[in-house]
Amino acid sequence: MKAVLNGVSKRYGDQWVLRDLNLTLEGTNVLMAPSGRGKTTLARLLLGLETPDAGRVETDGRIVAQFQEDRLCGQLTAVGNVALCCPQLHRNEIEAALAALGLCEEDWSKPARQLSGGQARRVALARAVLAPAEGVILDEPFKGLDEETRQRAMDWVRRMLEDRWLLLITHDEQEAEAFGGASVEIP
Amino acid sequence: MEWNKRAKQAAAILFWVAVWQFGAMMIPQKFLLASPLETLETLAGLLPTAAFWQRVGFSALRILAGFFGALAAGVVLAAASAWLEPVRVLIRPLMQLIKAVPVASFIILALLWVRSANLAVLISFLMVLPVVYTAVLEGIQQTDRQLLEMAKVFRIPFSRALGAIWLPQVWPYFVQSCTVGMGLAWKSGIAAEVIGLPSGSIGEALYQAKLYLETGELFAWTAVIVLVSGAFETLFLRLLRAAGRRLEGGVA
Repeated sequence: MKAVLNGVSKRYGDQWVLRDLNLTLEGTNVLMAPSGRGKTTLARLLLGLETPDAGRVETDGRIVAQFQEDRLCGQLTAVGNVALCCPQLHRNEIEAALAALGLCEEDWSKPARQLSGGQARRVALARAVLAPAEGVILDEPFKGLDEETRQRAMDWVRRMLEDRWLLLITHDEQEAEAFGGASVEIP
Repeated sequence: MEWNKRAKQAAAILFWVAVWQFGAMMIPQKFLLASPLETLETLAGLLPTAAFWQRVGFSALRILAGFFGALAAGVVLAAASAWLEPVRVLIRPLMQLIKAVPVASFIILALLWVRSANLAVLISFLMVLPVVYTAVLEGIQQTDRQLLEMAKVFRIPFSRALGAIWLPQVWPYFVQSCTVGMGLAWKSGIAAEVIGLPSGSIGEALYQAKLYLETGELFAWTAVIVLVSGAFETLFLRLLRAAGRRLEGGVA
């Protein structure tokens, strides 16, 4: 399973964000680039939320993502938010995942709007990792987590995504090192 | 705190009732302004009669039919307008026209099309429709784009996205339009009855009271309209809020 970008270019108005990008995503891929270099645009192109102005994006199967924002339904519980996107899972499977990410039992049934930033981040992470898909994009997935929780979350994500391709977008060198894999460059 | 607020409200109402009483006492021609006491006496006389309840039922049935029809049509048209631009372009001038045309013009025109007995249905419908349509369309357009993108990426079926994303976000707009619409339906519906004079309606009773200078009756029927309209508004809003709480409760 992979995603391939052939000569992809994208611009907003007169501003070119991506120019003639050639890329193959298989296994684990880490993208580290300064702000404004088109990381989010690349993710949006892969997810089909944008169409390229030139070139082609070819993907095998479904791609899901943890967005830069948590994008949770505020009135739904932590479990409800994951269940909404992962109808194939039983409640106890979702709860096990949330527990693995360090969320306490009392937080599982809290409406998402009552969760702290770090808790909401982990719910969004669980949703992206548990959703049925062949490729996963994680955009700053561990932002706002304390060191212990971050380590725990990284271990869990690595274990869960072994047989799928992953594009990890991060500013953190430690995270990039921990995940290893191919380094993605945006020219 | 709550008691203090209520006490202030009650005091304000009492003040204006006193002003009304004082005004009625100052005017020697009794038919010009009925006193609060006379209004209350007339109302007490009307309440035990079957004719009174028949009139209330007659008007309420028609006005509420127009109101609920407008809710249904407003929601369907707003949804269609949000998804299909040609529908939005087509509907927009129609809604602007309905909002701009005076209700009296509609009533007189509608008298040519429908029987006076059903006039209140049509007029209530026409007055509430643009209110609901505009509010619901606004709610749909203001729905969080980021959540909609999330739904697209995770391929959430429309039926689930409707309950989890669309309804909770559009609901407050819908409830607000219902609050405004209920009062509007009663005001316009009764105005239609006063002009169309359908037999057995509240509007007809109001007109007859004015014709025979029965000011006490005129005031009593006006109080009935205010009370019945308020009662329906309170009841309906309670139901909507309970439904809203269920939506807020979410799933799982």
